[in-house]
Amino acid sequence: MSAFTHLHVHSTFSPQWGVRSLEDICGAARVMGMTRLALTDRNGLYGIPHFLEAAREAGVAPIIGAEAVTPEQRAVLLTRDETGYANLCRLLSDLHCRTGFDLPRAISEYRGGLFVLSDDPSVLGPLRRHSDEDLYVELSPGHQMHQALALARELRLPTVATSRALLLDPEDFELHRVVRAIALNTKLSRLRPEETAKEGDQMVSPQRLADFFPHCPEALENAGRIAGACKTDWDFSETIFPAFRGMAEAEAFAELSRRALEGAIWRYGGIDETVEARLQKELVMIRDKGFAHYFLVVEEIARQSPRTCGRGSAAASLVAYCLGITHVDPIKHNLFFERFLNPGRVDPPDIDIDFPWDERDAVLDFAFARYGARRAAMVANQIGFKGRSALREVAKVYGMPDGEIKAVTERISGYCKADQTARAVEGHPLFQGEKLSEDWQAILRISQKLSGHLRHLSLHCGGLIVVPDEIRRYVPVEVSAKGLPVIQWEKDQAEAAGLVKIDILGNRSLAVIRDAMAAAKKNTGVEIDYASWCPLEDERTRQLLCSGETMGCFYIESPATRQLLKRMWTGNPRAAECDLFEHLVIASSIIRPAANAFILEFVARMRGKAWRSLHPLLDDVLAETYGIAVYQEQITQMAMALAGFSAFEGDQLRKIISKKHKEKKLADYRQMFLVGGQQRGVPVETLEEVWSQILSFAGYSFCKPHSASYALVSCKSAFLKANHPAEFMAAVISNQGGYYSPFAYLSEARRMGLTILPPDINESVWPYAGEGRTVRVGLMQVEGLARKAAEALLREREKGGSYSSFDEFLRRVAIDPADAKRLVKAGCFDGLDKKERRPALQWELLRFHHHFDRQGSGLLFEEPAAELPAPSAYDDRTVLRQEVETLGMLISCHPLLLHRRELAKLKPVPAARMGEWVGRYITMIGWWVTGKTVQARDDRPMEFVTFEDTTAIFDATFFPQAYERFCRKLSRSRPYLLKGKVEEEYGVATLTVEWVGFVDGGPEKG
Amino acid sequence: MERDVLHLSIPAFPIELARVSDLSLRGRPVAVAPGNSERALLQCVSAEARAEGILEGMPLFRARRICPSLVLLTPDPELVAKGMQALLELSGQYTPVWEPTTPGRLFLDLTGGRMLFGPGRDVAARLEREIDGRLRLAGSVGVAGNKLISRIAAGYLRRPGVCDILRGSERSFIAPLPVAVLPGVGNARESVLLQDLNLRRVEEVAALSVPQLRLAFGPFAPLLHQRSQGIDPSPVQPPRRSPEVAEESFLGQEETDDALLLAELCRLVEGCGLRLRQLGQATRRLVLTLTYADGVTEQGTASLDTSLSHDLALFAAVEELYYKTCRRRVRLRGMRLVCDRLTARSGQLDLFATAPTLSPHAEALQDSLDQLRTKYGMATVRWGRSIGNA
Repeated sequence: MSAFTHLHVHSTFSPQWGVRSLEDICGAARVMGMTRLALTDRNGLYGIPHFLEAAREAGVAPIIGAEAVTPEQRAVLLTRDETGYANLCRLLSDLHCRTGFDLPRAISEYRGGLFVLSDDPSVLGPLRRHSDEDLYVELSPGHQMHQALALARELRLPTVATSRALLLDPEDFELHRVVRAIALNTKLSRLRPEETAKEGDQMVSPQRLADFFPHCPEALENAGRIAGACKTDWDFSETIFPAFRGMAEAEAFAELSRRALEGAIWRYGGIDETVEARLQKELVMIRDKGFAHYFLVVEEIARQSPRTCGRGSAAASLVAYCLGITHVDPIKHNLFFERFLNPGRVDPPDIDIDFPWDERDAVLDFAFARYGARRAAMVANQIGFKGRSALREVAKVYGMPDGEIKAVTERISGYCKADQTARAVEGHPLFQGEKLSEDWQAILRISQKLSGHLRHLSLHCGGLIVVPDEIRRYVPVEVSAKGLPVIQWEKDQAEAAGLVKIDILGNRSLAVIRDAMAAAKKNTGVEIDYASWCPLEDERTRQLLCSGETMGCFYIESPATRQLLKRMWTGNPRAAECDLFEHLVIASSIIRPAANAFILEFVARMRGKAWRSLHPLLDDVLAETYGIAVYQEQITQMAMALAGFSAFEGDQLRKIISKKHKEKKLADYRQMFLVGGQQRGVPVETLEEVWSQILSFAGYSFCKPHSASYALVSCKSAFLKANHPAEFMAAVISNQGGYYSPFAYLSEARRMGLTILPPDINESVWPYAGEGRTVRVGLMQVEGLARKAAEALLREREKGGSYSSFDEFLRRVAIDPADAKRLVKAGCFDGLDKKERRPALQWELLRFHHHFDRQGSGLLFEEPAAELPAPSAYDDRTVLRQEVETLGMLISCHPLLLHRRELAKLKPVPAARMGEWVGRYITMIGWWVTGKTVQARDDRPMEFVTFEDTTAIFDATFFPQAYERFCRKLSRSRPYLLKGKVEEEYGVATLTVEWVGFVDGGPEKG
Repeated sequence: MERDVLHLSIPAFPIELARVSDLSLRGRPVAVAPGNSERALLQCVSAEARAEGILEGMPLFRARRICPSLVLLTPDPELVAKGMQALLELSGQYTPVWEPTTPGRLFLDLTGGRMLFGPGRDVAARLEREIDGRLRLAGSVGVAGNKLISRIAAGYLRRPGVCDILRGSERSFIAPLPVAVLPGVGNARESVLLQDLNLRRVEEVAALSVPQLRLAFGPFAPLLHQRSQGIDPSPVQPPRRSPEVAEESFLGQEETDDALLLAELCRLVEGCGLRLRQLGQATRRLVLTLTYADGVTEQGTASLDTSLSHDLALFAAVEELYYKTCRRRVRLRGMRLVCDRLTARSGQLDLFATAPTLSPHAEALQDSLDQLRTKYGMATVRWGRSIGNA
């Protein structure tokens, strides 16, 4: 006889229901001496790949199942074999996707390979009529066992004992109730008993459970018997590739070879030996690994837009380059194919492609049209609780007012995990010397336990999965809010289950490049061939990149990167020896959190500082990056060179590092690294130092092919900025979503010598438009203006020509009076009428619409038609205020100019001449542009803020002491008075702020 | 006869009241807003906050951005009601004709009281002194021939004091003032309109004809025209009272547990019920007002099919109303129960009565309870459910 097994178990992957993690559950089962364990989360297999891993680690054999719950009915379904798994996936997909889903009917449709457990007569009755095979009545303590038992006798069905295990300890019930209250948006006192589990739904030892079943021991035995019959040796590791147009393997490979050769001729003009050899090598590997279909599918999708950027490690592949998936020449830039595919790599590497952000949906539509929802689905994001959201949701359940919640959550970084909240709440300088009330302590205590609890799915931004046959065989599918099918797993679990994803991502800069190129062609006739474009051959582009004037350029526009570029090239004695592109690739990889010390060291070495790598064994690996680890794959290589890791182990280490958490595994690898290194005679201190470099990659790092791909896009943006500045800046602002605000980009445009023209009813189009040395503000900037209204007026302008007066405009375009008013206030009609006539236009507008409104009913005593008054012009302040109100910012001049008089008295140092004051204390004026708060070494917050004055943009540093004192004052939209010391490093001057005041409010006490 | 209308105004009344007890609020920018959301609108703004550019009706997040040191209070209706009561008591000495408008503002009609108290200006000065001395509140008083001008006059002074406008000079007094002083223009939409049309001073509006004004203001035009001339014929109207029985409770500790809140509500019902029966009345409508911890209030109304006065019947109706009204999860700070639409308790019975009447036992029990409570106080005997399970 088999031992009792828990067949009904919920983990945190039961959305808005479960409370304990898979690790806890598997561990507890092990402690109870179980050898098998089922996971039956509600309505999904949300955590199955994780479960298989956790069970393996705990030494328990996993049984896959789910509890299907509809508002009326419920049943536990356990998979006996592969067929059962496929059927369960289909059934759960139906449950989520089909309206009018009927549980008994669905079960009878997909019954093959499934055990069905239920105590619901309306489910068991219809199924029993069909067959009693693998059908059981579920008996659980606390769930009307006697009724269930009677049902079993009536239907002559066997019984099975479960405990509907949700809790591991009685205290977990409190958390469950809170989770339910969050889910139902209610408070604890208003939760109805049927909306929660029972207090006794706990995972108990078989002995304790047996106490509840003295009258039917067979229920316990049946549990063991079912468990024994279920498949437990699940293997999800086989990769499932899509199939290209139903081709056979060999056929697909022949097609790929043909296209690759064609592409090589297109790229290189002919095929030389190097290319030929490389192509053959790659194609063989692709064939051996069965990747041909995948390449063809990706190529077809990438072909949907002429401007894409294939990124990730795929950029190391010549085949991808020849197919036009990626655009960096891997031969020219020394990108090794092995970084993408090698015989030792077991997991499928995926190919990510960026599309212009506004074309992405169309590309997805194409993919779904091609493969259908039967074969394709999107990858999900599993939304759970993070530190702040956990705290906020629990506090709401406890009835805390929003303001109070905010006061506490503000102390917590958005990246904090739930279990770190308590520590984060203490000791934040913004809120010192407060004692938390008892309620809050309870809230903190409970919210700490909320971590990884699945709330709901959302759509992953671009992960597409295509399978050759039917996606619902492999994983349950739901429907996203956007209407796209989405699988129940996020990308890690999808990968663990062998599903290959194609990332289709939106990228604003590709749209910027597209728009700027189109505008340049229209204005100057210059046409650029995107595929063969070598931006770095242009001297102006090279100068722009070296000077760090890269605001607006893709990926290298942040203050930190711009500073880095300046430091790298300003007055560098080795400038001539360094290849610009290679160094750009290094620069865009090295900028990452926790790498600050390495960045300065890198600059020093690049400028000629003598260096040696940490150990001679690393010389080869790190030669191209000055002995500093920069790229993700260097982790693998370092571990291989220094500690004798195999390629596979090295790759695993790289993955674990880049995926955060996994503390335990990391410790194992660290041990392995230290031991391996010592065996090779590397001193421990060196190993520790290398390990800390490796750790600095955590969470955020790139491989070289990826960075090279991005660097090429950066260069293309830089080319456009250098050669078509007006068109480029207009495209940057129009596509939105850059690192800076539109205001900051306009200031940059002014610094570039461009003239900003106000919106105009006869000149402006919807987006910003650049031509020659001018940038015309687009109608999109008029806040609140309906897109439809703008389109109507543009259409009418195109059809009937320019508008000659306001009155004519009103008669030609049926426009909402509010929109017309916005246009007047935004100054769109200043070109037709004088600015002084704006109030008069408002009156005209009123009369025009009054005339319409009055056609229905009149006054008893008809008034004579009103003569319009002749109002005086707005004063200057009103004009500026209307500008800010309708455009969201000042466009006619820099806001600092409004404070000219006060500023003159303060005698500030202009930013453009900051470099002359190095090492001295000065006063400066700054308009806030952007800021970044970081943790200093001692975990205290500090901030890097970028300001601008009318002469230049400059960076200021608020060290922890200054930040603590002034953080409350940094409220953005005001001119600041800054006092501090100018510091210089490698030709870049920054201001270390020691005192902050407001220009418009007079000096205040700090 | 020449009218004497006083307008007493204490700017930022809720804040001034809070400052009486909390000295730390003095001299700092303070605003009142419900704390339920960053988008909540400011209800009241102190002069210091106004100087920083903060206005009433501004969303909280914007105010915080403009003035990071802004101190925020949540509305305290209990305190405001007390303060208003105190003001009324002081002013009631001078005239029976008074009209409270918004909290902290009050019209007094002193017409005909000159023989008794002297000219309006003197009464105003005395009143201002008394308010300062007794309530520690600083107010300003406007004296004029009509409500409109007295109100504008009260707001005219920057500091507390008395402003008396000569009869006949109303129009020239308001001519140079900004249009926002005119009632009805203060609200956002119309003030924007006036800004757009570049009408900044009252005289500019006064110069426009009614048809012209009608283009911009529609039906409001004749009234605006009249007001811009300084004319206001409206009388000072004491508030009308309708008979009602009300009980309110401010909880010692903010609470979210339904059981405890219903217990408190039961105590309110007991109070109202006893009062109703003492008056020999029954209610046909219940109004429940809930004040949440973040200052948001919600009101629920239940019209009853039959008039009620019995505790248990009332409580059943109130409980249902509570669940209907209390939809937020935020803790409650106070509750107010009003029973109105009163009818005589032993009134005409319905010929075809369908509602079950109370059993004689229940009636008798209620009577005995009432007797005990009247004699020994409310706490003598209570319904178990008013104690709660905590």
